[in-house]
Amino acid sequence: MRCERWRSLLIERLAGELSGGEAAGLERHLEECPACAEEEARLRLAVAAAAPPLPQTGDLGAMESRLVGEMRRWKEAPEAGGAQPREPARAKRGDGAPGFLSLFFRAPIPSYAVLMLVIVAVAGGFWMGRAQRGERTEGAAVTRPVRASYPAADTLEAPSRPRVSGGGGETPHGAPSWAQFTSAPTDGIAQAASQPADTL
Amino acid sequence: MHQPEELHGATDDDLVQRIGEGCEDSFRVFFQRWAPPLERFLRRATGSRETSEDLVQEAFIRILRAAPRFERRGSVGAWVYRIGANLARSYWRHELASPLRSPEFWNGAAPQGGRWTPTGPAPAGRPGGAPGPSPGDAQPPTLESLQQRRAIERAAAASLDRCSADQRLVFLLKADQGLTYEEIAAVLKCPVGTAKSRFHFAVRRLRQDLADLVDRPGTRGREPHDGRAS
Repeated sequence: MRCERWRSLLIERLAGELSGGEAAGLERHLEECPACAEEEARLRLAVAAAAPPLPQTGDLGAMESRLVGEMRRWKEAPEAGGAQPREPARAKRGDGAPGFLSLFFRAPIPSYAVLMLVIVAVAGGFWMGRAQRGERTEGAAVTRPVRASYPAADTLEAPSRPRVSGGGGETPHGAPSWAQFTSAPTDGIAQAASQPADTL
Repeated sequence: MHQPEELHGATDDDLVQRIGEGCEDSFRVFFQRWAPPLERFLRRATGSRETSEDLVQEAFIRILRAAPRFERRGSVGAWVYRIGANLARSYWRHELASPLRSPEFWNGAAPQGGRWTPTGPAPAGRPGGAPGPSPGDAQPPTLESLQQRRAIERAAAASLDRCSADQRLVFLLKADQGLTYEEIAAVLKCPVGTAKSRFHFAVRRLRQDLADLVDRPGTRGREPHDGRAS
């Protein structure tokens, strides 16, 4: 329990942010407690490993000269961006978009929410309209007698299919039989199939 | 026209004011004062010397452009570091998923003199120093110790990569640049308590992720430490 209290101060000690009293107390504890001293050494090792030594900064003289040249250029031509400098208008997303479309870039969440509402409203309206039309049609069909809309079966005319003469394969209504249709292109196999079995 | 000698003693506020008026000498003094720590911070953040130099140039172009509108509010140092932090954030967001793992970083970060050293002197005028192991023993490095050190550094970089950008920035500003919590809070425009908790989180995460490596028996014996707990 005693160690837990001091261990919470180890990171502050690493950060160099301990006050005088706390620093002295922790120092005394570390002299007496090898486990905490070990933990402090490991913390130091972990921190140092994350920030290993870097080579010295190189010569930045050339950059300094370039920047001074840039400064001079701006002084000579203020409109170039120096003397009354303005951050060059960095292109923002949607800057080129016309009118309301730029809203989708500036405030995407509300814009897309409104768009979704519009889509739902339009789809709902379309669906409701369709449903109403469907009800009307259905109602009319129920009240109208079926016979009124379709001719009686006995008044139906035979389909105007081309009649195939001969062969004795005609149906009682005069329509060509299946065998006649299949034998139309003078297929020997089909003809054989249409003949009675005892003639084969 | 101000003499450079006189300018060397000028405050950052005065220098920026004069830069805004177009004083080239003031800019030179300001650049020499702030470019090295900023370059170091950005090199640590990006892991690349070329990238860090590009970003330093971009930072000073921003400073040049903003200087005429400069108002004496807050610390100039915090302003400079804030520009650097924003550039680092932007770099992490757009350029790399794992900023600290570039080969150049590891080649460039070869330990000098084969010893653990503190992470370098704090920049001039900066309070405190970088927390790190003090070079207690100057034993010549063995191949095994170098390999082990490299493995620990890689694991540490990977662990830091898993922290959020803000935690990483706080860690670098504290562990590498030696800023106080108050200064970090001013740089990142966050409460001091937030800066502190982010640093604690990053260190705990490092300690946890490196447990297998730093808890290995004998690790401490080969790595320098403060010598007190040996």
